Amino acid sequence: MFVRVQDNSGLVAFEKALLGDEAAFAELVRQHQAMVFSIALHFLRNRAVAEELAQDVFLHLFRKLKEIESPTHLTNWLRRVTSHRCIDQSRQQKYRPRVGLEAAREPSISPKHSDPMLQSMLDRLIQALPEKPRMVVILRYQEELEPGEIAEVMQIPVGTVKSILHRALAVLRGKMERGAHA
Amino acid sequence: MSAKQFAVVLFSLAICPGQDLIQSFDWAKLAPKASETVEVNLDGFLLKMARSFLSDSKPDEAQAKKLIGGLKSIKVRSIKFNNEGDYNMADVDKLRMAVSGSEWSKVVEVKNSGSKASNVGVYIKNNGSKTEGIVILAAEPKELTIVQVVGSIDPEQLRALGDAGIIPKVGNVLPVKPKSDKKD
Amino acid sequence: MNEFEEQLKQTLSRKQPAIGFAEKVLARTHPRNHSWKWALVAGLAACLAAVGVYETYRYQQGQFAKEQVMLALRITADKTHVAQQKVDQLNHRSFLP
Repeated sequence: MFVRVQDNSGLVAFEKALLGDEAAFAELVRQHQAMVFSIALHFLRNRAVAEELAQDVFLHLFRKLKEIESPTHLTNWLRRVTSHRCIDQSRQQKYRPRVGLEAAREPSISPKHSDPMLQSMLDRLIQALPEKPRMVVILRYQEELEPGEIAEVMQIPVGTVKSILHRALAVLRGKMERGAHA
Repeated sequence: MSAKQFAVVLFSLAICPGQDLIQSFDWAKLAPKASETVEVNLDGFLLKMARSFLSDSKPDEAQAKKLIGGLKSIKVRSIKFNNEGDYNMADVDKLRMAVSGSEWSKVVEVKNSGSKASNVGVYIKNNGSKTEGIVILAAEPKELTIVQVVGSIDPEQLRALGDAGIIPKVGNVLPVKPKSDKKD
Repeated sequence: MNEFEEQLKQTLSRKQPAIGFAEKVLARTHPRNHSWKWALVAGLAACLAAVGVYETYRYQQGQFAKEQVMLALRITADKTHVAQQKVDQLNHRSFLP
């Protein structure tokens, strides 16, 4: 399991931001912007919309900062709010994938070779996943969270997370393999 | 009624400078018989307000403004009746008794008896050479009017308003200088 | 973690938003910091409206008071005139033979 250690600068910035220090809040944003933005970007596949959503999440944080208890709580809070907002946004139909998983074009190259083209194909397959599986995969492989942590973020049972993840990986792997043998 | 009791009644009826003659009268009793009622209640605040809205550039308003300058209140109650005898002249006499105190000068008091009985009186309250109020009682066959003005009023100014045609001509009833002696 | 999962990790690696992202967020927090200014503007507007309403009321009251004064003076003069007429009638009668 990959563990991100919160360094001391994060704690200082968090405590200062709690006291209303704008520069410290900006520092907090810089520390977490890649995480929030990437969840949104990988989920929505639209850079401008993802950036807008990420800004909204941090604005929401600015208003709710007093309710955040610790830097760890802050990270979990940001993941939870971002994932929920992404799913909500997707449900508004605007950025829901127009094609189903089965209809997605399969990559024509082997996953063994890691290159931008392959990543793009895999990216497209992830994009074709339904909302919950897509977010589970993003949280598992972008944020490297354990199923228990994903369950906490998405507020669904661990068993459900495991089952969703298992099925999503099988579908993705199958598509990739079929693509490799095509 | 003993002399003492009579004196108490007279004393209680005598209007003091701040006493409200109009309020002391039972108007509610007459209301059902009235065909038209006019009621004016101007206290110090409203008079001040009226003064600020009366123009100095318009002669009539300037004159009225000057006239009400020293007044504390103006109250008017006028009731027109459908029929003669709709009100009791004895009630009017009570009102007249209220302005019969030594501080009051009876400027005019005219009583007509008979079928067309009427009763008109003008009373001025003086304090030295200063007029502190005017009460006008006009009890006509089908109309009863009481005007009660409290404060320093110059009858000459009232007459000037009449002469200017702004209000009806006042005539010579009101003295140019307030008199302390009674006139019948 | 197998090769496929490694591939997923690489595909889903974190990316940075455009330069100046934090500053944009801060800029969007400013309207909230200045909400007191809007409150002040709203307060002033409410005061102006209240003054307007009061002035309208005062004007109406003033006009009413003015009309009442003129009415009271007219009635006063009218009744004084009645008294005058009565006096004149009496004087006229007293001179008759």
